[in-house]
Amino acid sequence: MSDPQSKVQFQDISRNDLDRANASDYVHQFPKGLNKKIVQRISENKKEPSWMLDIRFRALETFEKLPLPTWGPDLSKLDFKNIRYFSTASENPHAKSWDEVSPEIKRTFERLRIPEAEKAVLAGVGAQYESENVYHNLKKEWDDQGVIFEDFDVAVQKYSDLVRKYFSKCVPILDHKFAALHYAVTSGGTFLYVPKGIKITQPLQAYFRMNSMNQGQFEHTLIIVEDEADAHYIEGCSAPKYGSQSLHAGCVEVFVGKGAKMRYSSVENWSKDTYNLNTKRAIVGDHGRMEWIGGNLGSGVTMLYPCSILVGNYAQADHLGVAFANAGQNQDTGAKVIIHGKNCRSKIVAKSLSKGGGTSTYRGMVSVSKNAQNAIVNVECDALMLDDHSLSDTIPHIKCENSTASITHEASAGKISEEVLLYFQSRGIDEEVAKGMIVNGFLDEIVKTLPLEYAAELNRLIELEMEGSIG
Amino acid sequence: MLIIENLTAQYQQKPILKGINLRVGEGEIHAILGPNGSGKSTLGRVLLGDGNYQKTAGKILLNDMNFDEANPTERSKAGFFLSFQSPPELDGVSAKNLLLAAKKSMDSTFSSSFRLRKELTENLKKLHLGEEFLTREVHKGASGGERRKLEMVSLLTLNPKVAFLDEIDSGIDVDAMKAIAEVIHEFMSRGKKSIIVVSHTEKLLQLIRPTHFHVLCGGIIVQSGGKEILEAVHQCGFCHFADTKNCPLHHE
Repeated sequence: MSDPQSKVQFQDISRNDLDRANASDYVHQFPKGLNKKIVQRISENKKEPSWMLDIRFRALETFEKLPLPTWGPDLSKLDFKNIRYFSTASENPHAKSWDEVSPEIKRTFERLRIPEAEKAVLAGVGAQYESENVYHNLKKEWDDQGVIFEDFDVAVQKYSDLVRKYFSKCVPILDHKFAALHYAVTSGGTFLYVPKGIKITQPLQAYFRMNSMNQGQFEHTLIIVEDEADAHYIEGCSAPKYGSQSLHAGCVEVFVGKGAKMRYSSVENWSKDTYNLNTKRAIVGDHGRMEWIGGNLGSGVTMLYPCSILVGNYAQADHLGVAFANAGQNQDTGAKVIIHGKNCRSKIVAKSLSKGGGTSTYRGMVSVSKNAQNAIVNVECDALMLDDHSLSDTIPHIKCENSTASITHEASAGKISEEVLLYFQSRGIDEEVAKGMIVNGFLDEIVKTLPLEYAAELNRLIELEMEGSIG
Repeated sequence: MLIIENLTAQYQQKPILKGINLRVGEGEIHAILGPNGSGKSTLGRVLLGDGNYQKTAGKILLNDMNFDEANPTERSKAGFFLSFQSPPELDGVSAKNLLLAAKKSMDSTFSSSFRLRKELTENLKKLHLGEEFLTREVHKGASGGERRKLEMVSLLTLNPKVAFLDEIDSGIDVDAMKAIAEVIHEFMSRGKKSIIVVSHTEKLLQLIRPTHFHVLCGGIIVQSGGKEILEAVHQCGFCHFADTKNCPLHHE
């Protein structure tokens, strides 16, 4: 457990800590735009095995062939030619100690409270800056038990067979245009391997930071939780604001073994000029359990629908999501649950907030296949609009081929109740503080599943979004 | 001292209060009786400043503070407290967090959540509520009686100057009634306090022992006096007062 003396002070974090860029010298900064040569150079730079380069080339071809999605937010202004697909700022990537990280970059992560959190509450930390990890470390206790927590680029070299066995087997290259783009230019990310029966009691964290203008980040996270093992992995992300587009197309693949349990939490807080087009998916075996907990606060456009494929019997998937769309933001988020096993269960709780003319959409899919006997799925989506000109939408899609399934869908959408606001005021609480408390209360069910420090961080980020909310 | 002068107010363009005059001094408990729809709850809402009710004329002063210039938060900070007849459920907000925010808002130097917790636990005990009410979501799934008791916990904890208690007795048992009456006496004993209580229950009023009684009928106070009014209402209902020429209903 955490030592109260070393509490991480996320509640002091300011918008400036997140949105401000820092000066840094680049070791490699490839020209903007995408072609076969760029892809080849990325691979050469990493001295990758040839099977990786083959995947990249196939992915690039696929990317060029596939159209943009015909549904969801408008992506027509995203200019692929104006994105830089690879940059590294560190002479010494993959450091094992913060002392080896260049002072400028280290300061960036200190502002984001990462080393502090590592000391206090985490089993391991990875820190990615632009295209590569600058730091990666796992506490010895877990290393000794065979846990692998590595920078993805290092893992490709060091655990080539293991990575190759799972890589792109959960999210295929052909999945959609941005998955293909991701595989063509992927760089950095996390590899987590938890051996059979090992239960990691502290969370592991990776933090992804984009720093320069028009940057693209395409990290790959591959998580393998063997039978009866247990882990909690947290991702945080941010980028400074430039008023010019940047692109994040990450990919997360999770394999949950028999009776294993995996919790994946993320707080995505990219700057408001980022396109966050992310793919996250898990395959869950017999009696396995996958939990997705996500907070989406940043980005101009987000498209993110974590997916669980329950292939085993008695498998379980919980999806808890929070999306906050402020002025100029379009948060298109949701969940996908695909059930093939028997006696599986899933719960989806999605909470969305919109304010200042922002748009929040819940887009979800539940699919129960023919042989999936006795599936139980409960979907609950609640939307809270904080003013009259913000939008909220719910687009659920249910496909059920087995008559023994029980699927419920509950949705609510509304504004802050005047009576509730008046009640807070009748206790001497100012309108703005009251609205903040109402919003925190609305999200409480999800926030309380996060470790204390991250719950405080999420509350703080929401507080920042709520500033000036009196209409 | 709360002074209400010639107060008129409407709800959805329908006049409800038609000229209320009331002076509530320190150390006084005023009971307001009256038939359903006579404007008792509206009076509480107008005093708080609920935007759904429009004050059309008159004056409300709390210790020389003019309520016309204050929003509901400011009125509460100035020492006015309304206990809601049906308080709303607060999703994800505990009584402890609500009252901590309230305390901090009213007193910027207040910071001890430990002290508050101790005080809250004691106040809950006085109303026979368990400690779990500290952390439970406020009024969520609570019975009518529990909600009213929790309103009384807020009263004790926030320590206002003037409290308007709107039907705190509906749906509660005799033991709860006794506990509420004791809490009211404890509150009054702190000194310089005033209470306006709206109630239909003779038993509660006997326990509280108001110093003044008023009958509100058709939006005005048709009669004021001592506890003889309670006896009269108990014997012949409100018709007797409605029949007096003061009552606007008399002519309808």
